[in-house]
Amino acid sequence: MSNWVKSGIPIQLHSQCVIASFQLDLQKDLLKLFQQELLDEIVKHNHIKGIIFDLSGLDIIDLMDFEHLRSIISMIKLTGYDTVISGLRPTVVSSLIMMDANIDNLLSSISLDEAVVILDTKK
Amino acid sequence: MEVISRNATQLCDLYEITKEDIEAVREFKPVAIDKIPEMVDSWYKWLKTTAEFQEYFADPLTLHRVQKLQLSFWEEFFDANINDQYVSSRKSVGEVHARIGLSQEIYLAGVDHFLSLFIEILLAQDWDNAKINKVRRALNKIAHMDMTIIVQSYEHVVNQKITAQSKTLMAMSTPVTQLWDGLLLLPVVGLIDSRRAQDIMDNTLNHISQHHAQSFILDISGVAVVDTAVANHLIKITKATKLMGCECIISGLSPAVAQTIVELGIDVGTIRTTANLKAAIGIAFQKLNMKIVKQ
Amino acid sequence: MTISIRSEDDVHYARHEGIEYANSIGMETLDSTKVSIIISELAHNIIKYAKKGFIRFSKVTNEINTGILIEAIDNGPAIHDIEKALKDNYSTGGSLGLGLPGIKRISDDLIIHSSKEKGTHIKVTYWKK
Repeated sequence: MSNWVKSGIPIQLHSQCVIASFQLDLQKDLLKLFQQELLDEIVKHNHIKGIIFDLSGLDIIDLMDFEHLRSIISMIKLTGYDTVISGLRPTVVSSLIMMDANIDNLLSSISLDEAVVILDTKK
Repeated sequence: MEVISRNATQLCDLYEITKEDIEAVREFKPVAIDKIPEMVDSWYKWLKTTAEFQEYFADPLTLHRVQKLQLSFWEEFFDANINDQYVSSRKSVGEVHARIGLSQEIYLAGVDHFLSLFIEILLAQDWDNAKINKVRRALNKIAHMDMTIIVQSYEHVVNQKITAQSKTLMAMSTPVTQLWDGLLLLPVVGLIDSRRAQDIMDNTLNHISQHHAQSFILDISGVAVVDTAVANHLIKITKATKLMGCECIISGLSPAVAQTIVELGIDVGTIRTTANLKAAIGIAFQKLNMKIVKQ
Repeated sequence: MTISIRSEDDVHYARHEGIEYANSIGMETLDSTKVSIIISELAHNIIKYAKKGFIRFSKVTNEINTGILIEAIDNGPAIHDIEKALKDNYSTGGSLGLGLPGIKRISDDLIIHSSKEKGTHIKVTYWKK
């Protein structure tokens, strides 16, 4: 993969949590790039509490994207960290539930603060 | 409910109204039309004897308008130009009746009154039996078609009224309230169907997002019957709140409801449920790291 | 009494009539609640699998007791494997779908006739407790 191709999804470190903020609508290729970038970032650090996906900027998440996110969360789990998804919008949630999305074993939070608290208690 | 809507041609087919029928009625028109004002008077006398008169027709202006409408209604009837415009004019009669709440009873009795007057006039003609019978049959067919159209449009309006009412009720019936910072409560009373479940879900999710709630109590002590369908809806609502990052507790499971849920073989999974609201509030406060202390 | 089932509103209506009927033949609250659940499950199945059909209920008696016979009749796709449909966790409808085994547990007798030609006819008997 070329170095200059980036997913464009910002990955930041804050209160010892890796926070990925999604702004653009998700796409398969984009998520693949992001997955690589994120996992690279995670293994660089030694003392993090976990990962937070900030999804508050997204208007639409379809079932395929959601499944892809789930699989990324499973990959992160293999590196030894928990992931909290944060800030899902009501309409996004409503449509995911209507499409019978599988939400088992997911950690979610209403805000970033709350997400940090959840990761604290998981530690 | 779906209503089969027929156009003018289909209606004529249904009632087997033929060209001959229409001609027969038109032939009868010159005889009958002169008598219509008289008939309207007779109808008016009859109407006066009914209980509805005071309520709907006591005002002279209204009465005058209704009498005029009667005239044009029967004129149209004898013209027997059965096209879509004719049908829609009949439809609007039914709609008006339904909106003002005039009963079908009085309308149908009124039609019968007119019909018997027509027959009286018809029998007084020195026509041969075959002709009289033909006209009679034709009058019957068209009158029945009229009645059906009017009754159906009446029913349609009544159904719309009911739908509107239940919508209003539903809008009122998802009062999500904030019990404490980060704690919401929604008591559900009555029926939960898929429409209402969707309402509850959307309403709840919006409130959770607005208030940044971490706990949500859904009290179902006012729901009499929990069957598979209702349980399905409840499970979906709790899943949705969980995805928002808000824990959902379902409170108010009566012994009867608990029994039927198990007997129906419903697996509620990891959903927290309690017998009463008190226990649910206790759990929620624990999650919020709070405690109610006696002073 | 026969009630046409085409929408969720009809399900509520059938349930309502069922409770009235159960009360009229002398059933108590717990019994009529169970009757209404049976009706509700059957009617929801009609909507889910056949789109439309009928619910019918009538009184049954034997030497010692009175009961209600609830029938669900539709022309939808047949139930392929009746024995399997009566086992928990079998559903082809994409949701909990536990209707039939649940009804079997709640009721006293459950008979299913289902074929491609004649549609589905389910008879459930519930005796006064």
